[in-house]
Amino acid sequence: MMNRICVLYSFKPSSWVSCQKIVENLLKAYQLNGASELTYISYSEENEEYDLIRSGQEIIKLGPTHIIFLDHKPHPYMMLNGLLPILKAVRNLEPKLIFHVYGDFTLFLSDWRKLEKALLGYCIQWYAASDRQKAMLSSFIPEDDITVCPFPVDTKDFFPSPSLRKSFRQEKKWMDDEKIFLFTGRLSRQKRIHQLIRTFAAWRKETGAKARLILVGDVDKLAEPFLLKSEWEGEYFHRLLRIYDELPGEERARISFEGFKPNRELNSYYNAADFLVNISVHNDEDYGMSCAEALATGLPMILTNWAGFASFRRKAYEKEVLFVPVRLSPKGKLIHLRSLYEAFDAFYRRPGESPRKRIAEESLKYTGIKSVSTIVRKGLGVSKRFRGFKPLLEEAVRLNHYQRGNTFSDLKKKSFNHLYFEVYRHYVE
Amino acid sequence: MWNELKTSAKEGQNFVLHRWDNPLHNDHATHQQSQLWPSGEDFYHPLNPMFSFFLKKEEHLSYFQTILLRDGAQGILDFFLRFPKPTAGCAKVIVQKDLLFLVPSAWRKEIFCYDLESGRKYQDTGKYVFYGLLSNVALSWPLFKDSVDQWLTQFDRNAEVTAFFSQRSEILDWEWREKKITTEISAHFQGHFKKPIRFVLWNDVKALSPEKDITFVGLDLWRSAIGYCHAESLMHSRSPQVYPRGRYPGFRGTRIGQWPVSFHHHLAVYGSVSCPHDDFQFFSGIYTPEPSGPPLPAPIKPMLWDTLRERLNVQGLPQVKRNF
Repeated sequence: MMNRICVLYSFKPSSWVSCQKIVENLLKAYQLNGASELTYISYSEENEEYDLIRSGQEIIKLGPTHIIFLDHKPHPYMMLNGLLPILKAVRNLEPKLIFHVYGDFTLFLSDWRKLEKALLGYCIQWYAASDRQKAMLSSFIPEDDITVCPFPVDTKDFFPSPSLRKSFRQEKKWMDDEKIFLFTGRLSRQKRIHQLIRTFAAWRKETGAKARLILVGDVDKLAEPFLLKSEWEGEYFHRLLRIYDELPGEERARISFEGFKPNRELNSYYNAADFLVNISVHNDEDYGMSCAEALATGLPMILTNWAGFASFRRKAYEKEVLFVPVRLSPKGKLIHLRSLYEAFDAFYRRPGESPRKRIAEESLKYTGIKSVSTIVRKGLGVSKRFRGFKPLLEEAVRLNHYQRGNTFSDLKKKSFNHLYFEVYRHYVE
Repeated sequence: MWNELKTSAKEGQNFVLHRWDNPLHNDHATHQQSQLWPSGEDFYHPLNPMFSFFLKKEEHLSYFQTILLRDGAQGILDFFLRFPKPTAGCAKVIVQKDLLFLVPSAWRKEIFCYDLESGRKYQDTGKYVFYGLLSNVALSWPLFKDSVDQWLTQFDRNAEVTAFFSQRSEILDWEWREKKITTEISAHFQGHFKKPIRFVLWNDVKALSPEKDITFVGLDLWRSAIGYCHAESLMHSRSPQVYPRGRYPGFRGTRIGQWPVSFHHHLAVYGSVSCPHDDFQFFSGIYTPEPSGPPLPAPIKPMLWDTLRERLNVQGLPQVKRNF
């Protein structure tokens, strides 16, 4: 029997750049399943009540076998809390529910709590983007209900290309014997750009390496909310500028801020670079879309051993991914910067060229659209019924309420609280 | 001069960094600022950007070492009418350079001017995003009503157009709604362009900011509402072309330095500034505000706009002499 699947997502691109590609590529993975009839329903934060009602009516009329939430926003509560009882009453239907979970899951625990009663007894497939995110989610959701499904990469957008590498390096005036370390993403306090710049500059100065650090992305103001640290727009930018201005001239010349670049320009950067470096310890780092994209071009990487990044070292190319250890402490996440320094050196001194074609091929066995399509096809057959969230979710919701949204903070000490350690311990080794 | 200014900026207090716990913070002024959203969004810069309506008393002028006034002409005039002379120990004040003619002569030796610049030379792309926070009072101003159609003729009728028009009854009014489209102005615009205009919200405008092939056109052409506009600055920091707002050809000054705002644009700062006009003198002769009173009353505003129309060059429109 043909599956009738309603796929809910925002038809307008997300303001979160990585999410734009994630939704697009997940859709492609579902579309590869010929045995299903897909209907696309707009579900976005700009929907007003009437739009929701209209979408709900459309879903009821269709009588789906599955309802899939592809996007990270808005929360499924807005739709499902009203829709599920009506589907049951009017059409006697209990569609299977599929949720692709993003890094901001812990920011919406109250909404999941509100939805819990409506979800009881339904067959639900929860998808985590990485092994460590699955482990983290299992603090709240029965582990057996969760499957790892990486966010896929489209090889039409990211692929190894020696000719592109040559032409872009010429355009950028990067010498053939220069090693390019590339960062892509938001320049953010939690991505530790200030430490990245300092460590690179220190390494380059001490070793005299012919290397550059290229930073592609806009600065943000996300700061560190779980440690009750907020930032104004422009604040982190000026912090980076101060650090940069204090470097000796020779080091400044080796570090380049390219600013924001749209997705379609990133393939050139990945191909032209020699290594990706990302020492993020962002709480929302469920996956690392930039890592998946870089690997699809065959780019070796230096990554923090943190959260979703841990999934990117596969046996077939384990020497191409170097990890920098991370430790949790009440006052923050501590990166072993000496290891970062040594990683720069190790990659720089490595002889020969990286086996980019092989890295790309091997990585796509995990992150390619075809491979993800296999996972989601299997997921359509989910048969396990949801019995409710684990008790920790209730505790988290209560803390969220009494601490006015600061679920993971010790308000007195301005540090992480016990709940943070309980949940995020899964993100470190 | 530049080093001295930079040192003052770095060492002095910063309004935004202590946004909620500095003595100048008050709910009324914060609400006034929110009426300028999104143009008036807070941002941090060492030169201490803030709006003049937070400065209520003379002692407030000494609280900071540097103040960059984000206001447009209305706010600038109101500020100098309340503080016609610098006080002892007052901050180094920086105003938008194209509004220098509103600065009293008593301030001119001490004042600095700024301009927002990007590395790009402006080029019309033929694909437009119009952005306007429009007040009923401004829309009723005859020089605007009668010149919109003429101003529009510089834009290709076959162009693809997106527009964010947000209307308030008054620029610093209590009531505003993002989705409220001004029927009159929309009709003028749609009357010019052949293709249907896509009317959008602020998030949609932001989503367009990575595109190189669009031209962002802010409708505060005469800089009456805002000097440093957050929306305009965002576009400078990203890829679009930014249509130039009105320029004051009488401005003279020495460029003393520039300070980045993003990787792609910066504040150019001018010292030793001068200009041949002193319109402050005229306005101070007809209106004396209360130190902590409300901003410019309605009858003054059209006279101010007529002055702006005479002083500023706006692309596609002739300068018009005021009739008073």
